[in-house]
Amino acid sequence: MVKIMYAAKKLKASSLVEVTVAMVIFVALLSCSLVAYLKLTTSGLTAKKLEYDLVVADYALKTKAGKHFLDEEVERGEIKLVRRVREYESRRYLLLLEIYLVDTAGDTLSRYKEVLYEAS
Amino acid sequence: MQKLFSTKLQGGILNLVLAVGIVLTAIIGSVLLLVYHRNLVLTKNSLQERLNRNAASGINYLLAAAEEEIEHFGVDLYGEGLDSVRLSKEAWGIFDLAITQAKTGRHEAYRIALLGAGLDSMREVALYLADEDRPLLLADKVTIVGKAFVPQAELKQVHLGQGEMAQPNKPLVKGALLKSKAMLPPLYKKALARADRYTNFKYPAAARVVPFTSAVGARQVLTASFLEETTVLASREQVVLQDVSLSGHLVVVSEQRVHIGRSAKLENIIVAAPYIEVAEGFSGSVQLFARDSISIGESCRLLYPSALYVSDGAGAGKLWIGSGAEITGEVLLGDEEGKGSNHLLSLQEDALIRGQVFVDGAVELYGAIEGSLMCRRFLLKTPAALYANYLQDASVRVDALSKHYLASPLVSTKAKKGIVAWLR
Repeated sequence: MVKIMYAAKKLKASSLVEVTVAMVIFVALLSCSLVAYLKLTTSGLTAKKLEYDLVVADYALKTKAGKHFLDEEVERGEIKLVRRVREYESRRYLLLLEIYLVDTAGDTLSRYKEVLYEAS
Repeated sequence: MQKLFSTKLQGGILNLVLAVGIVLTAIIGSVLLLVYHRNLVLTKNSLQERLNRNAASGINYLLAAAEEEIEHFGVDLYGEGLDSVRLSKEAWGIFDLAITQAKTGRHEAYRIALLGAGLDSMREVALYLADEDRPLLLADKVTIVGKAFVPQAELKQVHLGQGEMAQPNKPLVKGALLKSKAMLPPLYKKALARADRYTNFKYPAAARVVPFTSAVGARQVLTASFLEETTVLASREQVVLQDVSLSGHLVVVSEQRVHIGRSAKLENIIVAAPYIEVAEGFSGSVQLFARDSISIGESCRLLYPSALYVSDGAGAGKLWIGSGAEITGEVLLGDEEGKGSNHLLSLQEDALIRGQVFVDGAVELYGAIEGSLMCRRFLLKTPAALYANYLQDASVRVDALSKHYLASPLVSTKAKKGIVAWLR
């Protein structure tokens, strides 16, 4: 009996205006979402910036492990690693290690700073 | 036109559009949330990484600081107003306690470390025996590896007891033999002065003193953060540390005696009393300061960084280390003023001290020392007699001490400083 009633039930037809309005709303929503997505993925800490940070951190680690405390510039494709080491505030045994990752235009993509204690 | 607007589409189209729209919105919303959350986590990690680095830089700053104690003060590390850290340095036993805090908004990073110093000039010295006009006489089975400063720069080999000598032609010292002076080098003056504070019950003004019984009585576990002020658990009576776990920024003080039981778990704390007794089989890292004497039971293990200090103010403190015990750290018997030189260290058979030993008095050495020994004289007890400046069945090897071993920073202010232990 229920089955027969369900089959007999007719859905009310929609006007073209109703459907168009609904679709416009969804398109607007999609557009906003796209803008938000692009903003989220291009601002803040992007995957590319994270990669740059990791490259700099790895270089810093190797610098400290190998005690390479001389200024150096290393080109890696389109980026360049710049290492600067100097005395920290003229304090005995303290060094300021600065590492920058710059692009061909000279813009800094990532930077690393640390105060090191080196008595030897 | 009117006809177009009045056109009716097939039933269910609007419902279908709404359903598809809702599903799409849910998917897009999830993706946006995911990306937002990922960015948040990465930014937070990056910030935390920078704060950790700044806190580590703060520790390096304190390693280079010549001052023994530094009240809390802030430093802008790179002068850009972005990387500020708060630093402090205080005494913790005979080591230095360094604390740094880097903070940005709700994010913060701490580093807490015990600081020590390399052995510097003592790195190659195995033995310094003050010249009291008595030569050093070596009997059987004596091993000395490293530079040895002895009276008149000479050694004699003797044979005690009956039978043949075990190794009659073996070199007595593997290392340079040098002439010692009448006085012990004043290397430990600052360390002894620092240690005297504890035996005289002098604590920082900021310390929180609470009765031992009320603080520990009902609790079995007590941990004090090094970020907070020192907690002094004081008692006028004898203190028994049994079935308790104490760690952190704690000083246990008794005006009579402290007994440390085998079941006690002590980590990085300080214990001060006239007499301290450590029961057989105890294991832990602790700094003990006694005004009269310390007794370390058999098979005890005092882990690095531990320290033993005895000073009775009259130059007659005693330290007895039982058979099979292992001490890794600093052992000091003496007074800042050098009021007397009759302290006595007795190291029993199979006992081992791994570190530096300074005794302004005599040493009964039947065990082994992996590190340096500085003393005024040796005593050797046999069933028949008591010999002065004799050594038998003993070993002092500086080459066996790890090159990473760090002593109290007060011993050598010019030596390279380092991290003795990370406490957080």
